[in-house]
Amino acid sequence: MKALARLRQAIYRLLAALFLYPTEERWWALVQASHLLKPERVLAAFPFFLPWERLLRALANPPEEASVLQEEYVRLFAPGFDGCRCAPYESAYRCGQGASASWLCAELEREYASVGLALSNDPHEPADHLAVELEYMAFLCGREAEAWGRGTEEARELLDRERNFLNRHLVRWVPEFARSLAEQEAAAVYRAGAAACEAFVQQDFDLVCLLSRIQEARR
Amino acid sequence: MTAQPAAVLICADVARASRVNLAAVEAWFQKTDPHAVVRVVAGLCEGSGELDSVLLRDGAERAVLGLCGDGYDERELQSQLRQAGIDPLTASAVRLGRWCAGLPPEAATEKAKVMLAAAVAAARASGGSTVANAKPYFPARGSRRSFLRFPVPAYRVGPSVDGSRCAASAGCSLCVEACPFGALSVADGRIELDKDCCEGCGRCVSACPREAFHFPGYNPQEVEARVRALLDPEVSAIQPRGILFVCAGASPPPFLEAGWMPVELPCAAMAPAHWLLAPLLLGAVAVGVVPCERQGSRGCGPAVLQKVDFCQALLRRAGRPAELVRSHPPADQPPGTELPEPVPRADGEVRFHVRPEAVAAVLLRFVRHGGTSSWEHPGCPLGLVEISPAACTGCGMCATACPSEALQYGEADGEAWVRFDPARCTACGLCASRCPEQARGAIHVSRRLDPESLRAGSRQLLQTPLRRCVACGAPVAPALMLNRVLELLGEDGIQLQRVLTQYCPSCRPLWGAREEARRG
Repeated sequence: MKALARLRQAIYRLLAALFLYPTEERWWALVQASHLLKPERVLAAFPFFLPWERLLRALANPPEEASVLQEEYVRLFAPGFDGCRCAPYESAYRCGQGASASWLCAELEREYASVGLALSNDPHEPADHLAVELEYMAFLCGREAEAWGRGTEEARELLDRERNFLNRHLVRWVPEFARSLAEQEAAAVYRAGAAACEAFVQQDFDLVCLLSRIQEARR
Repeated sequence: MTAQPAAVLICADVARASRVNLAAVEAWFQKTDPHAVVRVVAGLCEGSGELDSVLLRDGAERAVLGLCGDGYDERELQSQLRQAGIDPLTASAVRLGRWCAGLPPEAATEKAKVMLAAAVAAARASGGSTVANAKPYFPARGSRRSFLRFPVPAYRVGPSVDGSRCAASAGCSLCVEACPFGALSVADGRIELDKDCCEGCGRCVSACPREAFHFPGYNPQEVEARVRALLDPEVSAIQPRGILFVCAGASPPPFLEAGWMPVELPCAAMAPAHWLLAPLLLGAVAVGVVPCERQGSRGCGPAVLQKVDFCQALLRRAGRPAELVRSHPPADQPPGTELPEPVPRADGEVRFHVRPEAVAAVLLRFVRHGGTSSWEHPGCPLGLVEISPAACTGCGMCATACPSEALQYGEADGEAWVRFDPARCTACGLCASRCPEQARGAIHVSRRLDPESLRAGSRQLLQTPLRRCVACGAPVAPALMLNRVLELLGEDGIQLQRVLTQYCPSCRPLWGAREEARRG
C-alpha cells in the first residue's frame, strides 16, 4: 500500500507540474521526472496506461525552445480580455452548479488549511487551479504513504480524505477541462496531458473508493 | 473502407480442450482477412503469454481472445494487452473451449472460425473505452507481480453515461428504474453512476431510448456486428444457424450443437425484444435465450420470459411459428429443424439500435407478413399515446418530458399543436406522469403495437388556437389552457382573468402600471 501511495504521489506531482507555467527550470525537471515514470509493466496494470504512454511520448519530443511552450501555455491557459481559451480553474466549470468562484476558493483554502497547508506565492495561483488541486492530492498521497508505515487507522483517514476531495472537486470538472482542451488546437503535450490527467483522476477515484471499502471491511 | 487492424490471440490449449484445428483457423484468417493478425499463444489463459513480445506492436488496435476455458488471468491479460498498445476493455473474449467442446474436429474448427470472425467484427464496431468504463476489483487469485507487494487491481468493463445525449435534465429516469442494483441516480439533472453498486448488467443500455449509455462490448452496434457475422453464409458452411443469447450468470448448456451461435450478454434481460427478432431477418432459423437462475429482480428470468412471450405472440399474429423464438431451446439439436421455411431476409432494414425507430422498423417487418390488428402486451417495446381533447389544455408539458421525442409541441400560424410519432414511443409513461391534467385523464398511454399507426407515421393529436396579447400581439397561451384557467378561477378575480387572458407575460407589468396610473 505504501508503494502504491508513493506511485500515485509521483504521478500527481508530475501532472501538477505540467499545468504550471513552463519555466525552463521547471520544464527540464518535468522531462527528467517523466523518465522515472516511463511506461513499465507495473503501470500497465492500470487503465490510464495508454493515455499516460501518449503523454510520455509527447514529453519525450518537446518543442526545441521552451519559449514556444511558454507562448502556448499563455495562449491556452492565461486569462485574456475575453477569458481563458481553456481555463485550468475549477470555478470556470462549476460556477452555476450552485457554487461561486469565491465560495469554491474559500472551501478549498479551508480544506488545505485543515492539513496545515496555505497557498504559496510561487507559483502564485488561486486555490482552484488544476496544478494546486493536483499538488494537494500528491501531498495527501505522500502523507498516506508515511502513514502506512505507522499503522492503518491514520492511512484509512487519509484515504477517506482523498476520496472526498476527488469526489467533491477533481472528478467533477477535470473531464470537462480535458474535453475543452481536446477541442483546441493545442500543443501535443497539453492535449496528451489533459487526457492523461482525466484518465488518472477518474481511475484514482475508483481505486481509492475500492481501497477505502476494503479497509472499512477489514475494520 | 480499410478494415481496422485486429489481433486474434488464441490460447494454444484450445486445440486440446475442443479439438479445433488452429492451423486451419490461422490459414483461413490469412486468406480472408489480411487486416487480422492471428497468433496462437502458449499459456494465454494463464497470463504467461507475454503478449507484448508476441504482438510486437504490429499496429493492431483491437484484440480478440480465443480462450480454452472459463477461467483466465484477466489482470495479467489486461496488463499485457495495454503494453502491446491495445485497449483491453474492448478486447472480445471467445470461450472456444466452452462453445466448441464435444463437436467433431471439422465442425469445431468451422464454429471457431465463425465465432472468432464475429468477435473481430464486434471489436471493429467498438467505439473504444475510457476510464469511466473501467471498474476496479481485486481478483481472489494472486497476481504474478505480487512480489512487488503492490495491490494490483483488475478491471471489469461497465457502462458510462454520455451527458450530452441524456434527457435526465428533462426529468427522464428510465435507466434508474431499469437498474436492478440501484447504481444509477439523478442528481442536479444528471445521471450519476455508482460504480461500487454497478454489476454491469447492461439493462440501462437498452432502457435508454436516446442511446446515452456506452458499454464497450455490448453496445447495440457491436452486438449487431457480431450477430451479422455469426450468420454470414460466406464464413462457414455450417447450416442452419440459430442465435443463442446467453446470460453471463447462466449455467451454459452442456453441449451446443454446431449450428447454435452463442452471443454472451452480461444479463439476458438487457436484450430488447427486437434483438430476439432481428436475427430471423438476417438468416437465423431460430433464436434462443438462456437466462440465469438468479431469483428476484436481479435475475433476468421473468424479464426474458415476458420478451419471449411478446415475440412469440407477434410471430403467431404474423402467421409464423412461435417456436422461432424461445427460452431454453434444445441446444443439443440443430436449430430450427422442425420449423417450416425461414423468414425472408431483410438485411438492410435491420438495426440493433435501441432507439424506438429501429425497434419499430424490425417489428414492422414481421407485421408486413401478416395483417395484424392493434394489440396490447406488457412486453411490447412500443406504445401508443392518446390525448383526450376534453381534458388536455395544450400546455406541452408531455412533449417536454418525452425522452424519445415521440410527442412534440409546436406553435405556428396562430395555432398550438401536439404531434405524436408512434414509431418513437416506448410507452415509458413520463408524459402521463408529468401532465398537470392527468387527474382528468388527459393522456392515456398503452403498451400496444398498432401496425396501422406505425405505418401512418406522425399524426396530430391536438390543435388549439393561440390567444394573442392585445398589447403587443405576441402569443399568450393556447386557448384551451386559458379556458381551463378561467374555469378554475370561477367567478372570482375578474381583473386577474382579464390580465391573464389578454396580455402576454411581458406586457402584464405594463398593464399593471397603467391600471395603477388610471386609478390615480
